[in-house]
Amino acid sequence: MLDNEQLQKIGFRFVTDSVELMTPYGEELKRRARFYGKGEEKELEREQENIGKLVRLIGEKPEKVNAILRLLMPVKDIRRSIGAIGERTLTEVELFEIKRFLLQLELLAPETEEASRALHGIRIVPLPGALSVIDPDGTRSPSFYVSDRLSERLSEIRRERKLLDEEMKKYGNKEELVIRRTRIAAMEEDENARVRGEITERLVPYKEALLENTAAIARLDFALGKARLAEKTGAVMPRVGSERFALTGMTNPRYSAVLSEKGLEFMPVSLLLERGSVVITGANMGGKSVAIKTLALNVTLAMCGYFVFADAAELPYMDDICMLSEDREDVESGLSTFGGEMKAFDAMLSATRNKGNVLVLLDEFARGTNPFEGAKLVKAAARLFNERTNTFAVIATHFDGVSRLAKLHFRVAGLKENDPETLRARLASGAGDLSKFMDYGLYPVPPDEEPPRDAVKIIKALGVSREYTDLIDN
Amino acid sequence: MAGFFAALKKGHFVIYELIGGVKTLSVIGMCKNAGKTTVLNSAILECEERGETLGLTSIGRDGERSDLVTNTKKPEIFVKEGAVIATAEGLVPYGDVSREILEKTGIPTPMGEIIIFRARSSGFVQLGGASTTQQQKQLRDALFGFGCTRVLIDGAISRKSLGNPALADGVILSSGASYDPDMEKTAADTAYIASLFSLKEAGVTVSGGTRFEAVTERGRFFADELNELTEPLKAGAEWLIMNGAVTDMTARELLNSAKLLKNTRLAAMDASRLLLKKESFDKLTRFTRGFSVIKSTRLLAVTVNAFSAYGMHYDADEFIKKVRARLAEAGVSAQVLDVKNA
Repeated sequence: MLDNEQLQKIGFRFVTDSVELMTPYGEELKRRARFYGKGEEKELEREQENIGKLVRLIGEKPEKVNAILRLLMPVKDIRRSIGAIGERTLTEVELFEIKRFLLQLELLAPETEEASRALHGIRIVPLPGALSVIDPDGTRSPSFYVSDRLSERLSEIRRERKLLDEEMKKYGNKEELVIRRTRIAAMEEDENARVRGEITERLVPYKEALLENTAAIARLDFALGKARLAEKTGAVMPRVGSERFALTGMTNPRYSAVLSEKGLEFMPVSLLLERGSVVITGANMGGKSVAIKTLALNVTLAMCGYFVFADAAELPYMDDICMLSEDREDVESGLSTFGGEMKAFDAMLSATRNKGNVLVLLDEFARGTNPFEGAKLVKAAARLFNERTNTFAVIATHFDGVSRLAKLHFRVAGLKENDPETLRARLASGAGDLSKFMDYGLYPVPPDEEPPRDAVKIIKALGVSREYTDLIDN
Repeated sequence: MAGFFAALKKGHFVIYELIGGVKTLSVIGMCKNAGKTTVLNSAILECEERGETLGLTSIGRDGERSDLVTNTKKPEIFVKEGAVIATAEGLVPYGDVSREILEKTGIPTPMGEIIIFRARSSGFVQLGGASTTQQQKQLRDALFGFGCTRVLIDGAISRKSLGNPALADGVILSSGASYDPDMEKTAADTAYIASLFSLKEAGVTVSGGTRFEAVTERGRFFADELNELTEPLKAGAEWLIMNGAVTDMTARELLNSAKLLKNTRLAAMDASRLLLKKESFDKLTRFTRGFSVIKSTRLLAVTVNAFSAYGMHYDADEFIKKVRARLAEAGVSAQVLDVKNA
């Protein structure tokens, strides 16, 4: 799994922040995002099916979904109160919370019944037996009061207390009355505690069912949140567990949002991976890094049980994902960027050696050194991953000669206009910035096709002074 | 406690007349043992006698736990069956009323989350409340939501913030011998606080969110630093509105520009934001055209208590006369009552 900073950069946090949840239970599931691991294949499949069915429900019966959301909204986290059952006598406030929760179950159960029949592991079960323990009078009021019905003695004490109130009104603060009043209030408190102890005892058989209901609510809330996002954005169910590793028409909501502010559109990215090294080449400013992050985002989403932002996606069951990207810095350890990168690379090699399928993403690896040695370093990495049968490596580089070692080679198309003078004229006429003239699409190219020579063209198009550009060509 | 039961018998209806149409009343003490709780208990008694359903809460009492445990003499709040109480869960055991739990508010305090319950018997309750204005409003609205006809707010000791007009539409200020052994000082300081609560409304609106806002003939000017307003102030501003706390520091800033302000009126958002010493306030009043507030507070009465918790009792008649005299000098017209008669 990527670290928090990386999850932020690839746009995973952006996506999870867009998942709106109604309950603290759902929020907690979202926070604990992780890859479904070995032995959890079935669970992942069920989660995906649940999301798919909920997407359909949102489309077909939006009013039903809204009713469920409204019922989920007031649900609070009462696991501490439930946890205390069987451990000690519950307080009035804890019993109040449990009563509220039981009343919420009474409403949620029928409302979700139809949906939950089609869903996996999301059944909300009402517990009328528990409710009648807490609410023996059957008032179903959303408040909690230790009922007279539960104790003859309690009702006796309360009657006496009322009589005493009347007496005090008549005779005022006679010391004898004040003392009696204090004593009777203490007696009520004691009897109240004893009755609460009995209620707690009678709730013990329901403890597991209460907890199971909180878990069902968590799963329903989280799946519904993911489904609502998928419905809104058109995200699709990925096929996880396939032999092929292919994601077509991927987008990245975080970058899309940034681009749309500038009036630009995100160019969808398609990638086919094989075991071993896949190389992406392309000019500077060409979007290699965005392609890598978009892949990282969608694979992470798929493995964490989300739908993905793509036209279609299939991938093998992945055990882990690692990424070394150009914005990595290791200031704290005092290492240079290059030194830090190499140490991180080494750590990654050991961490992924004995795992199941691993996706390794290298974005402009070794860019901090000279091109001659840099190319050698990247080529060695490509060869190493070609030898590892558990690794799908994607290497974005602009070094020469790396792509020849690749199982597959993709190119970011780069500049659409070939003549720098024409380009410069159009830029100068205010036709937009350079990105308008770039094709960020990824295209498969033969392994031996060298990276394009767009750098000089771009410099010229940007209008960098001739004093300098004239010297480049000589 | 005995004091409370004494009041129970008397059946004086003094406070009820005062608070008449006020839906949310705050009682603020100048110090501990000023008699604030006596005032509250009388108000509760008088309202309940007339069949009102009362809501009760207080302003956050963080750091007062030791006081709760050690100061056993302090009378507590006594309610009848039916009253609705918003208080910290940890304070519930200090009371002895039977409770029907109505709500868990999610508002945290050092004494536990604030809960709301209905008294199902008469009895004592210990009040603890929220510390931010936003939360206090939430509680007040919740109390009205549970059917209360009037909400009474117990002002935590020495906290003037609950005079906040956003919250209460009437305030009673309680002062007493426990404030200072020097009666003269107690009377003067009480009159000063009372005068802040009696400031008139400016009748101007606030448009910006900046710390300072100058209203001039040429329009409005906004700045977070006073020196950025030098130009408009030089040209003569009618109003200088201060959007936030006005402290002694603010006063110093303003006095540095006193020359520019001699024809300007000063306006604070409300009395609770005026957190400056009397000397600073007086100087500013002298060098400018005086203070107003954007939202005024209704000061209903000042109560006095000649009994000191520290043994330095005042002469009751002398004290009440002195406070009346100081209030008159400060131009405050509020009634002054002795808590003995409250």
